[in-house]
Amino acid sequence: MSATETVSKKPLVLVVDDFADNREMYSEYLSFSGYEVIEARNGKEAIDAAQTRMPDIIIMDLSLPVMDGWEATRRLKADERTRRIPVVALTGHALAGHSKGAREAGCDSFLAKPCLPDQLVAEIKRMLETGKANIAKGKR
Amino acid sequence: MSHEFRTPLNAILGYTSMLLGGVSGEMSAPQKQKLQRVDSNSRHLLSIINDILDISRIEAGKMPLHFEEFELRTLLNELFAELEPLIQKARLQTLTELLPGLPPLYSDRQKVKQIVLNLLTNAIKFTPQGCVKVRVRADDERREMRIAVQDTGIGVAPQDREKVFEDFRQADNSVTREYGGAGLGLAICRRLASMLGGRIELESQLGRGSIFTLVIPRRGKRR
Repeated sequence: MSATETVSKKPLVLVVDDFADNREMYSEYLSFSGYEVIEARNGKEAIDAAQTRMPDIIIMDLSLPVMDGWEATRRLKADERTRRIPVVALTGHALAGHSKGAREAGCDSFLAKPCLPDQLVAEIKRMLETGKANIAKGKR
Repeated sequence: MSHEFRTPLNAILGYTSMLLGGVSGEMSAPQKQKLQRVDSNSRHLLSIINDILDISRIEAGKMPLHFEEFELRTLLNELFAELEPLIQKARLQTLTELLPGLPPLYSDRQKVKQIVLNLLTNAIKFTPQGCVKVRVRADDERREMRIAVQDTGIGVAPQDREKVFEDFRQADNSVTREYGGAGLGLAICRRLASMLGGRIELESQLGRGSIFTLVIPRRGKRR
């Protein structure tokens, strides 16, 4: 699949957030920082976008309309096509229970809002590096 | 509840940081300076929101403290810098009185700052004219620090001296109408002071002014 391809290309990030101001903010900063970005406004759109575009990483707000971020993550992780895409949960509920729930749903990491755009970029970099390292070691 | 507070703040802090980072081009020095104030005040707002959310955690006994050693002088400088626009607007004189050779404080810096900021903001708000003064003393024998915020403001009547520390309460409703505010400031201060092993003392004369004093152990202990 795309594991070796993405090394040379701009990484593709899927930003999922129902609040346009935050979603567009992260999108703009990610583009500024050299990423390719696609957006989704709810869990259902996120799944569709993930299946059709195969992003390198997904930034997932958890409280979403139509289908929330926990459910979307659970479905992405249950789907053979999308289960290897790392999911970074991003939420305003900074409670221990939420981060635990996010991990149980299959999120690979967790960030609490407020999260500055450069903090998000740092986390994306870290996750993508970790992913590459795992692939190099033969882990999947 | 936290989600409703943090989502809009996320956008405020994020866009401010992007502008300061030059994402939409370089800004002039005065623009940058003003935006830095937006930034520091948004961060302060965030810390207040966090403190309010923390009240529930204090009540539930699940409140983490982060003790460290720090200088009160630096902390007061930061506070006065943040409050400068407010002080200018209120046309008040301010004065800081720190005794030389003041020892550093070992406590939760953010919480001490929050308490003194609350006391200072109140002093400015409730002082139509005159002076706001911060006086810091260390009492070596009793191992306590006394941070007194003194104003020449409207004062608190004897019958209201307990009431002003209650949640969502000010001296009376006319005060809320005239001066605004949620009436949570002193309630938070008292809880935080008690968590740090200290207390807030109040001396006041109606119409003459008030002295709110934060008394805390110089070296706080984890409880």
